[in-house]
Amino acid sequence: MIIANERGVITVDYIFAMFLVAGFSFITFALSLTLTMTEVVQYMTFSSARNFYAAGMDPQDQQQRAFLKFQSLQNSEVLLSLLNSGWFEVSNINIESNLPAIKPELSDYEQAPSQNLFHGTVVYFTSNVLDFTIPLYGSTVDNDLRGQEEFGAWIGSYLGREVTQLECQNFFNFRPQNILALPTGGNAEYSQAPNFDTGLVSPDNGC
Amino acid sequence: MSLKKTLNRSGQIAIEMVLMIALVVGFATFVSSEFKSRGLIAGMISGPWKNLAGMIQNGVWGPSQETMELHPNSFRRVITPDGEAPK
Repeated sequence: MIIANERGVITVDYIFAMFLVAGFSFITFALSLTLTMTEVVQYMTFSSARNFYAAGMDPQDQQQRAFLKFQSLQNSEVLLSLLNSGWFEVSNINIESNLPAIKPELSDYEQAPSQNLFHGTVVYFTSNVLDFTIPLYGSTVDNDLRGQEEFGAWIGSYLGREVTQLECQNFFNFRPQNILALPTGGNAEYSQAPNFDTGLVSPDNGC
Repeated sequence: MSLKKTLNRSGQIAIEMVLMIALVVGFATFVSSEFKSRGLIAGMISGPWKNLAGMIQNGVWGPSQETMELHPNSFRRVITPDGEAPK
């Protein structure tokens, strides 16, 4: 009879401890999985940004190739099930030059288009798996802040962007006029030249 | 007499067990309510996540909105073998 009664006490204790241990175990699991997925999504943006970086025919071509790369990774057999599980959300990818000027959420980044600072790809990653409740102990999100906060972050790769063939050609098409428009004085008397009809323009521009 | 003694002991053990269960349940309820009222579980995830989000987004420990200006792309780049000291 004594043993039977002690079992009752242990059961209560066990239920209480089991929820605590299971809860902490799930926290560890959810954090590990979230950090792993963060790295995966980081690579997806990096890989896409590499395609955006490489020179193409025109800027739209660069965007299209970056988008196709991201889409192919997103739809891969391994990642598709994880990204569609509801545990994680990845927004549509933003592929732009000078992202802070286009995305209000990123406007605090330094906006200096000439310095090629934030040209690349960015997505918003949300980890829904971190939002859960441990029975008897409470939720991972404060009830007062529910709906206001989420476990998300912008994940981007800002590798820059090379000049495309179209932009290169446009630049060289106007280069003679730009040279003629240089200010006089010093050793740069290019504007003294009557025009370029007297010579042959042979740019080695690699466009 | 012997039977009476056993019965008495049984009653005493039953009362003790009820008291112990009440104590254990009470303690569990107290701990549970403390966890909830203090937001301990939320503090274990929501609090650190703010800093973690900054590291994920900007490579700097701190809230992501406050560390945007410290993103490595904002560093002044100079040609030097030593690089630039981290901010």
